[in-house]
Amino acid sequence: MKKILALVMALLFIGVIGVSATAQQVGAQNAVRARINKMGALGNGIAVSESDPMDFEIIKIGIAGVKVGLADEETEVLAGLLYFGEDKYRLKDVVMGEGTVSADIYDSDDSQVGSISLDSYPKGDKEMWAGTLTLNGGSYNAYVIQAARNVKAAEKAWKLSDYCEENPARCGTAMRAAGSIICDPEQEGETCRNRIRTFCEGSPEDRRCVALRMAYCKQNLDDADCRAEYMEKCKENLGEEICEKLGEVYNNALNKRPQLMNNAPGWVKTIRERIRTRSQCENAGGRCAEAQTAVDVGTCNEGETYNENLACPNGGWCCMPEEDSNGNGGNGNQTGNQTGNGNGD
Amino acid sequence: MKMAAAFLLAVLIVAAVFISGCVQQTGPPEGELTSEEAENQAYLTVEQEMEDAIESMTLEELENELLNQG
Repeated sequence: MKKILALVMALLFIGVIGVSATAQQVGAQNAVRARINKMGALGNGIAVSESDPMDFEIIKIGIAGVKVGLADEETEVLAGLLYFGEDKYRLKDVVMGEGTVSADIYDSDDSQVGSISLDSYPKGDKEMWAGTLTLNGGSYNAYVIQAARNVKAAEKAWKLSDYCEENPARCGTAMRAAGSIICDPEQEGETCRNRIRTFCEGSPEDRRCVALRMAYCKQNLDDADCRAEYMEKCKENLGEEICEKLGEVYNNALNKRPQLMNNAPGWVKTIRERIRTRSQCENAGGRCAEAQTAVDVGTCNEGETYNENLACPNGGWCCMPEEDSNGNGGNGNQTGNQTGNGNGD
Repeated sequence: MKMAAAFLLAVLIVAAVFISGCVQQTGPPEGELTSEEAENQAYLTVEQEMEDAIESMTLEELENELLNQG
């Protein structure tokens, strides 16, 4: 009798354990999934009253685009949190741009109590944020140091999957440029995207995954993780096309506060100078000819003349339309028409 | 005979528990998330990320960090 009882108890125990394990697995499949899709401002900082420099508070901020969903359905929510001292606030109506974030601040009663607007700029080897914060009737200047984030391989891989879904042709091109494709996203659709995600999660430094990440980041410089990744590359190689784009992103903040240039890293100053010299030529109605080699200064089209007073990046010529040497009203259309006629008269 | 009957009874009990457990858990997800649910989940995710990535700093440490970057 005792043996029978023991056997029954053992079987019941095993069965309950098995049910629990199965229920957990099945339950997990139905759980809400959430992942960071795009990172905005994230870090510690300080808010200093505009009227009283002795009135300041340590702040912490986190702003991100989060993809949330059940099963296969996902929606992106732009959300943020602000800690002003020990007080916690939710950020709503979040707007994330290339190097900019803004949001309205809400308290625990879901009442709007302020707003925040920050621009990012490079300082030393980090990204910083500076801007304004209004809270509970007070106005503050806010400064935040962007935290170095350890982006999970799974998160990186999901971004690549999303990129390949939205840009299958570019996805394939990026992989081919790296040597070979993992699969063909245009032909194989979701199957390929899943394969790319799984592969790149396991091998994030595979050259094709790196190429896909760079291609994704070219279009997503509103993602602070992308800017951080490119900042590292631009320190080593300013020739990358994306460096100029990154420089343009930071240019906005630096134009608003020129004093920040004093502490900007060298590569930013170089890029900024390139942008400035190109702008001089283009603002005058000209066109920067592309220099093909170190000694080639490019060529001006028929109907254009070389303007030696205006510089272009990489030493290329600034080509001005012949009709208007000051560049007023000059544009590419004029150049094209003249070229078609073969003369500039 | 008693052993066989007891064994059969135990198997039936385990099977009943197993089936009832699976029936409760399986099935398609119950609709989509409401916008409020999605928002709340997003805030939780951001909060978790802040806890993981942001180290608490004293005012002195923050001041040094801001100064060191320049």
